[in-house]
Amino acid sequence: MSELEHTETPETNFDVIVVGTGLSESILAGALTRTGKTVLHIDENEFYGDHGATFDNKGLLRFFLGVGAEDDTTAKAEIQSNYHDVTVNVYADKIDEIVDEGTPKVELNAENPTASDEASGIETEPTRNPSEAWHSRTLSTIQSFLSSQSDAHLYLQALLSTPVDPATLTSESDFKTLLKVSTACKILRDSRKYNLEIAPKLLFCRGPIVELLVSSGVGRYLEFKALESIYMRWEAGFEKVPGSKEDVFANQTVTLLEKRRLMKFMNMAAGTEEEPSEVLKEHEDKPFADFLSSQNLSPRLSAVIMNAISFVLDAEAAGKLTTKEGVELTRRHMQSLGRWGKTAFLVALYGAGSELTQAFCRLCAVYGGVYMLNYKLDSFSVQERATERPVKVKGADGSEYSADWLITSGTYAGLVKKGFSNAAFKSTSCWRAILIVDKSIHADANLTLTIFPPQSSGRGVVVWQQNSDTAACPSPYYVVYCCVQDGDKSDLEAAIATFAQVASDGAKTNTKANILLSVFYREEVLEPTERWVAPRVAVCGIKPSSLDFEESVEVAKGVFDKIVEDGEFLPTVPDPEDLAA
Amino acid sequence: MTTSKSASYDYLIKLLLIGDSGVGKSCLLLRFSDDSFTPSFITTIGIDFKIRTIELDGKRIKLQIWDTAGQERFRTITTAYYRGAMGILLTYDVTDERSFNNIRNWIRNIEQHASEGVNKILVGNKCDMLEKKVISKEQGQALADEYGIKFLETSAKSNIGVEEAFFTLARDIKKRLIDTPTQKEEKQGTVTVNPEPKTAGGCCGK
Repeated sequence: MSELEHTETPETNFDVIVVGTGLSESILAGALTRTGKTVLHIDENEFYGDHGATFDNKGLLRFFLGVGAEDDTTAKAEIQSNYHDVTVNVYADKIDEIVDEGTPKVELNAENPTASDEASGIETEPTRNPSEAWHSRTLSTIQSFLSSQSDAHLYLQALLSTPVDPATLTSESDFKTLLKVSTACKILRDSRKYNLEIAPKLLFCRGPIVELLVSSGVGRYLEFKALESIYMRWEAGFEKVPGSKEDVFANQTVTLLEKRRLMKFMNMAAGTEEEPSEVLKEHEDKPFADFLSSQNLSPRLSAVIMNAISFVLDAEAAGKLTTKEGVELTRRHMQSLGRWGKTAFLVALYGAGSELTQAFCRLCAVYGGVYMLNYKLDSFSVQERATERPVKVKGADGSEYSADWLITSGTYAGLVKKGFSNAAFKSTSCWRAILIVDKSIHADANLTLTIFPPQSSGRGVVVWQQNSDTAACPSPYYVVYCCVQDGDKSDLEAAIATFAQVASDGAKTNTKANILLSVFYREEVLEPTERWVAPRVAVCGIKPSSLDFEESVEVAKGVFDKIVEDGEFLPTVPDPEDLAA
Repeated sequence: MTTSKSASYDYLIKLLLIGDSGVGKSCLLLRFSDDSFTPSFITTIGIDFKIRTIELDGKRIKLQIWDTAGQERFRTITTAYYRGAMGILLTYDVTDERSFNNIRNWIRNIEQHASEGVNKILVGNKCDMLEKKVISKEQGQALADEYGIKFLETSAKSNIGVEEAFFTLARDIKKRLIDTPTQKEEKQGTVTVNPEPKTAGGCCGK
């Protein structure tokens, strides 16, 4: 792609210029061309998705660490300033297998199973002696990988936290070093088989985005799987969150009395908004937490409802949540049950943010939208006196594009602030981790959501798991995503330690998943304090850590209604199958 | 010829058109699916994909052929476009050397995003424009040979080679996926989110 020059676009005039290919912007771009508006859709990145992009392993390293960037003198895309404190670590895979094969065995040290970002103590471990056959086999695999791809060395160095020169690896090399290098090679060799989301999301089965996909017809570009199970960390174990009445009854860890109370609450929450029960009315503006305890729900069940059904994961926010709001959140969850699968959620194949975005961009393009990716921008401005096409977008190459309206994602806050002095942004951030592990973190399911209620820091952690079922990674591996809003890296590490470990730390247990790769980063998202920073300029932006995309639809619809008066928002596209004569 | 969607079919094959802007991808598509031709250059609006059901060795094969929606212009074809594609028509314009030279880049793109083993055919379109022709048949054949793929010259305008190009590709795919069924990576339990759930007749390789 990048080896081809941008050909000059003959048109420089459009009804709307959309900058950023995040979901809100892409929905808008599609909705606008559907009404006949001409749209130019630009992204500085060479990929679709903005903050919701999906990468293969090499792409992830290129994005976060700049590995293999063709020319480091080119201006950095705005988005890259939104990611901080990135650490990438590779850990040796299959250590048990090797130890079993080799002799003599040594006692393994089970301490420190967390995914720390330090070099994982390779040098301090006692030396073991796997078979010579293993040694030469591994060496030749590494060497053949390195000779197969011209950029292999670059990526390999980026993956290995301690510099290892693979050329110097010999049969004398410490086997753990070899093992680590070979794991790194495997991750790179199979790079294309991974679809790693930098901001994973789920879709509520009856949430606004799913309804929009159904009503617009855009859903036909996409494939989904039903999320299998939701778990909540409670005491020293994982509690399966009941998603339905059947689940409540099937649950063996809840007493009969608790079951009745939980059913009573669920029935109450499922009740229609128009006729809330007396009890609910009475508590409406009082704290939800108090309401839950007034219903004689145990702390455990209260936590399930607050954290894993309503998804309020911030202790402070939970304290402020009114009963009315809490019941609405519970209802949101319960209404999405029973449509597909056993939970309220769908998981998109190949990465939700990226796929959904591309589907709406395809729609936009089918209706005439013009796309320019990997196009660096210089400035935004509005010429107040101009009567036609007052909005100007200037590219770094000097080209100028004019439009009646400009929509940008929050990622371009820098350019927005430069162009519109009264624009203001607030920043929200979250810590995220992407792990590749060797087995499922829950014995009985592949596609899962795990909620860690707030601990001392007051911030709960959300953990998603996917595997080859959603094309996240090749079998037999699993991808685990972790996120904590406003929290710290230590919140993530504490959560991770409950289900995963680093094999090269020497811990040999069969209960936890072994981590092969970990990527930690802090994502910063800029939201405008006012959506319209100038009469014809809107900035989209959504909270980074929301589970679903529902806000994106709302944001897109709001901006659309202002640009297109009385226009229909994404009417159903004719199915080409129907047109086939 | 083409059939309505209610007609049954034995297999569904997804094809893509790839190549530079203006080489006539949409014209090839419209010639094949609707047997029509529009001479003026219009960037394709409103064409997502087209359907035509053909018969090969007594089997009814529904071809679902996707157009680029103009996203090839600035190399912004979505990675999602390549998903599930079983065959690709790599198209250049015999009167435009640049479009021919870019075939290598498109092949690189396909290698990066399409599934391994996807069938390809190289198509040199506009072969009716003899006086403007700059890429010879031999050059086209040599490039195709280099990548080990089949090659044809076509004219959507004069209806030369169009049927043959699509049929050749479809036949190769049928040979690869249907006649010699191997372990297909089937995605169990995939949820599709559509306005009205339709029951498909069948799917390739199942």
